[in-house]
Amino acid sequence: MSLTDALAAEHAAIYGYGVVGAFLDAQRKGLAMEAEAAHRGRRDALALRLAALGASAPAAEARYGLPEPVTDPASALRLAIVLEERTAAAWRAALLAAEGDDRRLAVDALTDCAVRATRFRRTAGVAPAIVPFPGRS
Amino acid sequence: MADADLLRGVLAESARLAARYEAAIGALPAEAERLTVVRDAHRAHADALLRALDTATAPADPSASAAPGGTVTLKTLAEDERAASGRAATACLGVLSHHAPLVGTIAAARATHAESLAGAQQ
Repeated sequence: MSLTDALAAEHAAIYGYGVVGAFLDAQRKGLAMEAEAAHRGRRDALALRLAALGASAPAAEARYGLPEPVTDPASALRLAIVLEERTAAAWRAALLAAEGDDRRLAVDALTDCAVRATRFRRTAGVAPAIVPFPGRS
Repeated sequence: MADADLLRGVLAESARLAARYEAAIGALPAEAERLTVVRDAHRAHADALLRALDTATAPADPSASAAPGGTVTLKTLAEDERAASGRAATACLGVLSHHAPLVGTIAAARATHAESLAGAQQ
């Protein structure tokens, strides 16, 4: 896993939030929009970094498979939790090869994804809202 | 700072936080369930760090870092977690590559603990 894989995970998360947002009420939709904006920020930072490294940056796919059909607020919140867990896992894996500023980017992104996963678990009434090792499957 | 020293620093803080939650569980019985989950997470972190440390290097004595006194509230615990998360993230930047995922995950976990305590009844 690498920064390239983290970018692919960010693309998938941004797609997923497009689905999540459509099924949430105004207040929870705000949480989802905030999360989506954060992922767009990481995606843009990563794309710039990969360009600077001369590495290939994968483009977003037209669509992504979802773990389950999203039909209501409950399934939308479950998807949001999965999106944060998946991006957290990608950033955690990226830590293994990242040095210097890239490692800072990865640990900050991992932390933000993990915090949002906890926030969505609380919003969904999932207890416990934390896991011992965020990003570790 | 050397890799092992950084790991020992994060370990000592995990032990300190576990002890602090142990005290908090007694002081805030209404929050015992939630606090116990966090205490156990800190203990799991300490165990993982002990395994990561070279067995040839003696780990720091966790009991040396006693939990601080003073009134424990969910708010002060959350502040403690956020600061400890930042220190683990800084340590993550200095450890050997193969330890970065563990230390980075611990930094993330501490931040989630603060989030899990937010908005709770004091």
